[in-house]
Amino acid sequence: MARPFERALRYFPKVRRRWLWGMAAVPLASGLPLAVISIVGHVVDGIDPTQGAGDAAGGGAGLGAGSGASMSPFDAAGWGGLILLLVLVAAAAKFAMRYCITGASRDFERIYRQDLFAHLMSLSPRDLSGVRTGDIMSRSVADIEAVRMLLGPAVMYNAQAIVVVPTALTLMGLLDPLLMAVMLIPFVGLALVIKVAARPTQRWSQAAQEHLADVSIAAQEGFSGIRVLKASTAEPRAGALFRRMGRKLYDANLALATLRGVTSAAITAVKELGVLAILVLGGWHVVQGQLTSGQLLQFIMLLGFALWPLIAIGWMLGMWHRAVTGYNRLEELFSIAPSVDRASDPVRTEPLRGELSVSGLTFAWDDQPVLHDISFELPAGGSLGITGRTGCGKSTLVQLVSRLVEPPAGSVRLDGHDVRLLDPASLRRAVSVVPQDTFLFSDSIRNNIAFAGDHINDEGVQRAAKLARLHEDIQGFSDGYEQLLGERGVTLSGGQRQRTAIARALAADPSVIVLDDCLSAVDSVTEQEILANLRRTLEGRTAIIVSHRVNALRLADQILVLDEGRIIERGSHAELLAAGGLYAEIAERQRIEEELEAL
Amino acid sequence: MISHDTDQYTFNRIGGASDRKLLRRMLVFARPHVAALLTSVGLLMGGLALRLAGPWIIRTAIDGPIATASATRGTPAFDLDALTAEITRLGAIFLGVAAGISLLAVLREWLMNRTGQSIVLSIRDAIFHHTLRLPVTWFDSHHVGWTVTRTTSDVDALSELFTTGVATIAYDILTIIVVLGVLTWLSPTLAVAALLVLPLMIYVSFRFRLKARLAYRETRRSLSMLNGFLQERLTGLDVVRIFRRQQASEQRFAQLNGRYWADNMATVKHFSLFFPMVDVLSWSLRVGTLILGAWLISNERLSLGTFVMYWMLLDHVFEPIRELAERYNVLQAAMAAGERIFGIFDAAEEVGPVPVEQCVAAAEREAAAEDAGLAPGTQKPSPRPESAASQLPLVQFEGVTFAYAKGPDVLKDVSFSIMPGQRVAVVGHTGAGKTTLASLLCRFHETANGTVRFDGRDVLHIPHAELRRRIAVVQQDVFLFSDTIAANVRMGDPSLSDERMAQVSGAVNADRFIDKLPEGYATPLLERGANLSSGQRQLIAFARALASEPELLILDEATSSVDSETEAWIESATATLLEGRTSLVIAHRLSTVVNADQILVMHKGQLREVGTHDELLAQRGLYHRLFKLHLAAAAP
Repeated sequence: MARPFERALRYFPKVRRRWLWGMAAVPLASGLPLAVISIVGHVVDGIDPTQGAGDAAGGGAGLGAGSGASMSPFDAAGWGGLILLLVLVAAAAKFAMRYCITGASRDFERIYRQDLFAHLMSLSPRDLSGVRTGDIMSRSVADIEAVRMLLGPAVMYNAQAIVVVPTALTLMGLLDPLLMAVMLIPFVGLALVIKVAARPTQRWSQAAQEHLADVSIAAQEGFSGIRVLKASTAEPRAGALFRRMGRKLYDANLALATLRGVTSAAITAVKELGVLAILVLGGWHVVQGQLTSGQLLQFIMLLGFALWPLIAIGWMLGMWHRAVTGYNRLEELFSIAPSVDRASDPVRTEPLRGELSVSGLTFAWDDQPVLHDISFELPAGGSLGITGRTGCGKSTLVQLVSRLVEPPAGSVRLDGHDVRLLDPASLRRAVSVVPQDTFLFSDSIRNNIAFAGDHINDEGVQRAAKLARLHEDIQGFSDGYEQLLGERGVTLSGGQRQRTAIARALAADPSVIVLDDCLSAVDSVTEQEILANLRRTLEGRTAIIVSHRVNALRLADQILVLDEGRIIERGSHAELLAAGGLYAEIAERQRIEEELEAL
Repeated sequence: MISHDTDQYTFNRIGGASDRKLLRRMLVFARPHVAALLTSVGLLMGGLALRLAGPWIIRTAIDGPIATASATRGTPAFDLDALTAEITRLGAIFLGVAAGISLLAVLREWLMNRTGQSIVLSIRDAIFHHTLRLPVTWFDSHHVGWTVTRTTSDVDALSELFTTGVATIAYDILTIIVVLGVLTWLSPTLAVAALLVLPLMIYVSFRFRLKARLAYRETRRSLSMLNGFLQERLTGLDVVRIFRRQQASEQRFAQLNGRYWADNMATVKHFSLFFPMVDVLSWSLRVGTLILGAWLISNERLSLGTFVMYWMLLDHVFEPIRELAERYNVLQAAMAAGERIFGIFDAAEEVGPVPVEQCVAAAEREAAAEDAGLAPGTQKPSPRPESAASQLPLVQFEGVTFAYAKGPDVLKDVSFSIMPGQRVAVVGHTGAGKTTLASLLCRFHETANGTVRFDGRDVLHIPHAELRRRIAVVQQDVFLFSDTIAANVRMGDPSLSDERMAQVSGAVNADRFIDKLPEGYATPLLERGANLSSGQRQLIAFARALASEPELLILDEATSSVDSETEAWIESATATLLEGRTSLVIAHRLSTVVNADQILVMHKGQLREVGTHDELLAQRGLYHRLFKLHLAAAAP
C-alpha cells in the first residue's frame, strides 16, 4: 500500500480509451443544456408582449433583451427546432458519456476481479486460513464494486459538476452580476449542507448496519439454540433480548431516516432561497429594466440545473471513503504471499516412476510440532499403509509428501529429486491425492471425474468409475454421467462422494496415488471391492493408503503406525498383529465392532 | 429439505385476489398507526399545495408588477417604490411558502419513517415471537439462514410498503393528477399537448423499468454463478492444486466474470439510453409548449406569467412519472417478502396456531413489562408436588415406536420406566436411538405409536412450559448464547440470586474457571460460547441445569475429549448433579454407567438389555461387548 490505488492505477491504461471517450462527451452532454436554457430565455423574451411594445429604452444586459421586437410564433418555432436539435445532440452525448464511463468502470472491475482470482489460485488453503471464504467473496464483489464506483459514476458526476457549475455561474454573471453574486449563497449553502450531513449520515448508517447485524445474530442464535431455549422455557427472555436489539436498530434507522429527511429538506430550502433571491432581487431588476422576464426564468432554470451536480458530489464523498476502505481490504488479500514457492530452476523429468523417499522429516505448524523424524522408503510400485489415532499427524504427512504443504528442503524425494525442486506441473501429474474431506464441484459427474484435465475422454472416465465401483450408481442416475451434482442436481451419499473422488484420482492416471482415509463412509463390503479393484489398477503404481481401518491396510507391503507425530510401529500386517502393540489393539477393537454390527 | 428463496417476482402480479388478502393481513400491522399514516398523507398534500404556490407567485410577479413596469416605464405612471413594495410582498409570501415546504418535508419524513420503523419493529417481533413457538421439527426442515433472512431482509423489504410504498405511490399519482388539473386550468390548449406526450413518457418509463429489472435479474443470476464458482474453488482449493487446475479455473472464472460483465453492460446500456430518452421526450413537450405558448401569447389568449408558471409546473409532472415505475418495483418486492413472511406465520405453533394479532399483542405486553422493569416469567415455578406415591414411576415409555419424517424407525417398540430417585443410564452404539428417547420425553418430537408418560400423565397432555420446567436437559453439544455467563446460567430462571448462582456454579466446579476470568460472571461470551473450551461450556450447562432444580435431569454426556484436569472436574460435577436426583443419562463415561441403578442397552432402535452393570456383564451379551469396546478405546 505504498500509494493509494497503486494497483488500481495499473489497470487503468487498459480501460483508458473507452473512459476518455466518455470524458470527451462530458462538455457536450452537460454544456448544451445550458445553451438550451439560454435560448428558452431568449424566446420567452421574444414572445413577451410587454417587451415588444416599442420599448426602445429598455435594453439591458444579456442575450434576449437586445432583440427588442416581438417574436412571431414562426420565429419561435425556428428556435424550437434549434432547441430540439441541441437536445438531440446533448442526448447522444449523454448516452456516450454514461455508456463509456460506466462501461470503462465495468471493464476495470472485470480485470480487477480476474486478477484477484488468479492471485487466489496461487495460494494454498493454509495461506488463506486467516480469512473466511464469505469474506473473500464479499471483497471480490462489494469492495471491487466500491473501487469501481469511484472510477465510474463518481468521476462522471464530478466532471459534470466541473463543467456545469462554473459555466452556469458565468452565464448568470453575464445576465446580472449582482444576482449572480447572490446566487453564490445557495451554491455555497448547498455545499455546506452536504459537508455537514456527510459525517453523521455515515456514522448512523454504520450504526444501523451494526445493529442490523446484531438483530440477525440474535435471530440466528435463537433459532439455532431453539432446543435449549425451549428446554429452559426461555423463549420470552430471548424475545425480550431480540426486542431490545430491534429497538436499537429502530433508533438508528429512525435517526438515519430523519437525518436524510432533514438533509433533503435543507437542500430544497437552499434551492427555494435561490428562487426567492431571483424573485426579489431579479424582479426588482426587471422592474428597473435591467433584466427581462425571460432572463428571470433563465436564472431559475440555471439554478435548478446547476445545483444537482453538487448534490451528486455529496454522494461522491461517501463513495471515496468506501473505495479507500475497499481498496485496502483487497490489498490485504493481494499481500498474502504463496507459501509453496516455485523452484527457480525446476527439474522437469517425465515420466516420474514414483519412487518415494522420506528422510528425517520433522515438521511443525506455527511452533506446534506435528511430525518428528519420519523416514521411510517406498520403491516405485510399492504400497504403504499409514494409521494412527485422530491427530497423530497422518494427514500432515500426506500433505507434505504431495507438496500441498512445503516440506523442509531435502526431506521428501521423488525419483531421487527433492520435491521442492521439481516442476510443480510434473509433480502434480505424477501424484494424485484423494483427500480426507471429499470435495466435489457442482458440475456433471463426468466433469468431476475428468477434473484432472481436458485430455481425459469418456472411456477414461468410465474406466475410472468402474474401478471405483461407481459406474453402476451412475447408471442409476436419470442423466447418467451428465448428472449434475450439488444443489442443482443429485445429492450423493458419503460413500458415493468418496468413490467419485477416487475415480477422479484414478482418471488422472498418476504414478503415485495417495488415499487419505477416503473410504471411511464406504461400507465394508464395497470397501473390500474397491480395494480389490485398486490392487489390480495399482499394479505398477506407488500407493499410500491412510486409514483407520485395518481391513484397508492389511494388504500394504509396509504399514506405519503413527502416534503423536512419531512412527511407533512399522511392519507388515502380520508382523504388527504379532507384535501386540497399538495396531493389534485397533484390530481387536474393529473386530468387536464388526461383531456388534452383525448382531 | 431446504425451502429456497423464491425471489422471482412475476410481473404485473399486483391486484390479484391473493394480493388483496395479503395486503389486508399486512394492514393489520398498520392499524395502530392509522392516525400517523393519515397525518403523513395530509402533510404530503400540504407539501404539494405549497409546491404549486411557488410558480404561482412567480406568475403573479410577472403578470403584476413586472408587466406594469414594462407598460409604464418612461411614463409618469412608473412608480418604482410601489412596484418594489409589491415584489417585496411577493418575496415575503414566497419565503413563507419555502419555509413551509421545508418544514412539512422534515415533519413528513420523520413521521413516515417513525411509523414505518414502528411497523417493522412490531412485525419483526411478532415473527420472532411466533417462530420461537414453532415445534422443533419445523426447525429440522428449515435452514436457520433462511429463517433469519425472513426476520431481517424480508421484514425490511416489507417495511418499504409502509415507508416509501403505498403513501408515496398515492402521492405520486395524486401529484400527476393535480398538476395536470392545474395545467389544464391554466391553459387547456397547452394541456392538450402535454396529454399527448405524457402517456408516451409513462410508457417509456415503465418499459425501461421492466427491462432494467429483467437485466438486473440476469445480473444477479450471473453474479450468483460467479460467486458459487468462486466459493467452490476456494473451498476445494486443495483439489484444484492436486490436479493442477489453477489455469483451467482461471479460464472458467474469466468466462463467468465476462458473463457478469456483459449483463452489467446491458444494464448500463438501458440506463444510458433511458435518461437521454426522457430528456428528448420532455424537451419535445417543452418545445411544443414554447411554440404553442408563443402563438397563444401573440393572440393574447395567454399571459406571459401564466406561461412561465405552466413551464415551471411541467417539472412537477415529469418527476413523479420517472419515479412511479421504480416505486412499483419496490412494492412488488415488498409483496413477495410479505408472502414469505406470512408463510412462517401460517406454520402451526407447538400448541395450536395463534393469530398474528395476538403475537403482536404478546410481544408488546412483554415489552411493556420489560420497560416497567419486570423481566417476564419472574414468578417462581409452583412448588413441585412431592411425589407422595413414590412407588409410581416418574417416567414411563410404553411400546414407543418413532421415525423422523419419512425415515426408517429409529425407535422400535421401546418400553421402560424410571422410578423417582432412580439413576438410569442409556448405552449403545452410535445411531442406536439414545438421543431420540430424550427428545420424545421433552416433547421436541411427538410419537404416534406408544405412550410416553411423565409423572403419570401422557406428555402430550402436559403443557410445554410445565413439562420443560420440571425436566432439565443438558445437551451433548452445549449451546450458549452470546450474552454474559450469568445470563446463560440464569437461562431457565432469570430471578436466580447472585448467591445461588455462585452456589450452583461452585457445586459443578464452574467457578474454578469463572473466578479466574477478569470479569467473572459478567464475562460476555462470543457466539455459541466460542471463547470457552468445550469442557467449560459443559460446566456452565451443568450449572444451568442445577439452578433450575428439575424433578428429572436428562444428561447427554459429551464425547469430545477434554484435558485431564477438566475431565476430572466434569466427572465430579456429574456426580454432584446426579446426587439424589431422578435422572436419565445418555452415558459415555464408564463411571456414570457403573454407578447407575439401571442400565438400558439400546441397539439399532431396540431396547435389548436391561439391568445393573454386574448383571449385564454376567449376561455376556451386547453390553459385555460394548464394555470391551470401551476399554479398547480407552487403552493408552
